[in-house]
Amino acid sequence: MQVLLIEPDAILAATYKQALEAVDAHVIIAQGAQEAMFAIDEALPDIIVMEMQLPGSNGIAFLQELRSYSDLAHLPVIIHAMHMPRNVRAVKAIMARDFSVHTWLYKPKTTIQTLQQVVVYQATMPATTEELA
Amino acid sequence: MWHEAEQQLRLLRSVAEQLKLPLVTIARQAELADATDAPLDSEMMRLQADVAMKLLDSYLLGLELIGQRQLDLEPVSVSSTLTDVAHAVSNFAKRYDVSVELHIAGRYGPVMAHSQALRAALLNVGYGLVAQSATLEAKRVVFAGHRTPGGIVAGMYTQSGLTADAWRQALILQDSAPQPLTPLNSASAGMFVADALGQIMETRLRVSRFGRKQGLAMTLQPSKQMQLV
Repeated sequence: MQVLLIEPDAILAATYKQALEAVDAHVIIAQGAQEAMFAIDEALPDIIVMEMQLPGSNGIAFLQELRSYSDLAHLPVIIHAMHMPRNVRAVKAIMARDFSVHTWLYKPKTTIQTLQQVVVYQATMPATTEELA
Repeated sequence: MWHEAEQQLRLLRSVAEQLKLPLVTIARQAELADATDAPLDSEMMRLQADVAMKLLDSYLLGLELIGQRQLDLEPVSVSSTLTDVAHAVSNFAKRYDVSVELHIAGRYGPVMAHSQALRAALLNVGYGLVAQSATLEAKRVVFAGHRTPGGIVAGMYTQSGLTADAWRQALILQDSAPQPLTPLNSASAGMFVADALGQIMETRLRVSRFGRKQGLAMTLQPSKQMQLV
């Protein structure tokens, strides 16, 4: 299982990388949107786990670009964000409708174990991701 | 009055949001050490806790100083404060693979400032810029002091491409919309606190240039008392 982890904070990224490697994932870290697109060009991941606040760009802009490519339109994406939007229900609905993103994990409440479970589940059973939303 | 209260509330929200990063980092590190064979990185946890506590202390210092009728400004050495702050962030910077450089151009004597507030302001800007420059190609923060016709400038600079417009927008939005603050990210709360401390000392944190780098700096007035001596 190849995971692309888009996490701007280097120390937090290293922690999540270790956690995902413990469930046999091969993890590539990108700190921003552009680096993430380059990483996808290099090797197509099975799943993307991403922060929404990215340096030099933002999560929405990245998702717009990602979904504009037909071969990446259905690549599973998990939002793993430090900030929960105030209108969370509306935002989740838009993310599902416009970007086929069905899982929004709030970092402060998401334990290492939960992240591992969700990533493994979604990477291996992408067709049923809506059940987790 | 309402505007002031609203500003205070936004600053508080921004600080609260900012504190999530070090706390989440500590919590996940502890979980990882429990769940796997990974050793507990106690130095990293201490550094993250330090950053969080410094931010809280600076915020509280700002509240305390706002409450004072007259602020006791005193002659403070900018070069000494910059050197001290550069040293204080160096271990944190190492963990992010960011190099910290110090450029003090010439001797320019002390400025009038609140020593504790100036140090706290520069320290928060330093932590913020170190975390941001870790995402840049040039992982380097330059701490610099120089003289201008307007006063003595104490600032910190990176190659982030930060513009005055982006900083102005960040100050207006603060907690409300972290998304479009390119190239400022969530590390901005410390900078907002630094700006608030600057305002108490009758200066502001402004976008400044140093060579080809951009950064945030405060312009401080030289101490006239010391010039007479």
